[in-house]
Amino acid sequence: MNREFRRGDPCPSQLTNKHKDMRANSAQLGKYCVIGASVRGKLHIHNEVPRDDAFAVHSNPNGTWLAVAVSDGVGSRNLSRYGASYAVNKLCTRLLDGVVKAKHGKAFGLSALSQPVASKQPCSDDRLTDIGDSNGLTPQLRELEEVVRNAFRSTRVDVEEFAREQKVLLEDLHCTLLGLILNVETGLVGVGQIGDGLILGFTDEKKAVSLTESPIPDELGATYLLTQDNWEQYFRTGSLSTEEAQHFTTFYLMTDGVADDCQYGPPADILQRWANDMDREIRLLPFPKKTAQRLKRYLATYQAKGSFDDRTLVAVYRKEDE
Amino acid sequence: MPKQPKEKKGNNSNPEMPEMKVAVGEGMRRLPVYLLLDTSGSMAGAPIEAVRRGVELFKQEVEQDSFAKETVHVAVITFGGEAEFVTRGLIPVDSFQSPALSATSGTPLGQALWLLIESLDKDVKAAVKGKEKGDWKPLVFVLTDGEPTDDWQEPLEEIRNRQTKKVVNIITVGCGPYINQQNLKDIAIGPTFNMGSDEASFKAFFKWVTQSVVAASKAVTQPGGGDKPVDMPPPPEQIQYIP
Repeated sequence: MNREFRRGDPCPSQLTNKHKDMRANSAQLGKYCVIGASVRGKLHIHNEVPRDDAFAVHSNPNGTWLAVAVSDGVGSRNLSRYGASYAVNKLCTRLLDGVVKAKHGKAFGLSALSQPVASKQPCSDDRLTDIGDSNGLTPQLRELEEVVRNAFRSTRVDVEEFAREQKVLLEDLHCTLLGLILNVETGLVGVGQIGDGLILGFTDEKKAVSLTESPIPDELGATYLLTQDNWEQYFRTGSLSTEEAQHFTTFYLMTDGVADDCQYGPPADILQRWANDMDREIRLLPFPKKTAQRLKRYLATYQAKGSFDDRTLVAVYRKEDE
Repeated sequence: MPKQPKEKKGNNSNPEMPEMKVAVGEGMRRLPVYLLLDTSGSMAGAPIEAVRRGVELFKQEVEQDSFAKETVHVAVITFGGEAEFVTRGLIPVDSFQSPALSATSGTPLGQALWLLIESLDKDVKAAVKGKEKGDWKPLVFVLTDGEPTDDWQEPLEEIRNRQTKKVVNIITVGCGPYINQQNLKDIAIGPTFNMGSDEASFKAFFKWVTQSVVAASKAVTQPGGGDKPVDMPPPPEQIQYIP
């Protein structure tokens, strides 16, 4: 049975393709549900310019791997939404290709499954704080992070090629990029990020943990971009083993339009509060499609001072009792 | 494994979906706007009154823009006699009151720049991940009708060499016949302008400052914004660009 799907913003084929002002999509794969929504920000509405954010969610044909990506196009570039929507789709494709073709390709699933997972071991606080630090990784996780890195590299090349085909400059397609690859059978997770935004894990102990430590430029208001020179210097990866991933019930990927409103206080514990509230809300209704619509409405309407940017959030959550 | 209830077709159009209730942070990124205003003896009388009214006009007009109103925080530093930090820090534009201004002999621009540096260090916030959002890069407008009477080069050099909380926008505007255009250009980080010293010119100046601030408040809220000089809107005819 073919379990392949693609959700989110479609991959543009040319620079005249329509990019909707709002989008909400959902999917289910194995024991996971995915909901995603992206809305045009107040400032873009005021200036009558399109949404520049994008997201994509793909699965592979046998339904074992889920790839998620979000991207924020630079507002000062009026074609950046195409960079964002192209990048998220290409990254999902590259991530799925990468895990299948890796040296331990299938073993990302099999070897993890072959290890006894009899009972939950607590995920140590040290490992939680070290996520994003490649020291001490198993060979399997090291290879998974290399898959993620190569997927980003290939996506960058893809965007360059797209720019050439469309006869525009690469900088016209400037965008950030955040991605996650998840094995829905073993829970193995790899993440990568270039630019602002946030990839967050939420644990069974109700703790919110950032899965990457993406550098922020010293310049206020600036961000690093997939499409800039030397982007790899500012690119970060992270991973969770099967044992570690057991403790994570939900993953969030978001652009800075949402990340800025949940990371910075007051109150000081806003990130924990946001993550707890969001997890409760996305599980309130057992209908992912309806939940995605609720999320879209929430992103379009919540008030936060100074929060005018496009807002994009994708949540991948393990169903209860799984 | 318990069976999941099936979604009924058409329910996604049901308007009675409960609203999500999710906490958001109360911190926000401010756009600091510094007005450095010459209150030297030569500004006495009509010019200084025109400046006062201009500042009031600036406040009223910025408040009209819903984006600028939320983000703009104002500081006023006067330089005449002794430089004075009138607002003693950055104030939300909707709480800001246009100060009473009086002219005093002397044009201590250097002192004003030192007060600016102090404020950049103390009042402008850098981002701390997980704690507070940083401010956008400040906009600084300097309005003067004559030559500075103290050392302004040293504080200006310090501003130019800042590695943190950088300033990329110091817009200088000279008014009246006694300005030194070269000085104005040397002080500026960005464009330099000249205007008359009549009421209409001051009014036009503050209106243009408002437009520039409103434009900046929109530019900086975009990804990648805030890290280069703001594109100023074209000035009115009363204000001439000095190339």
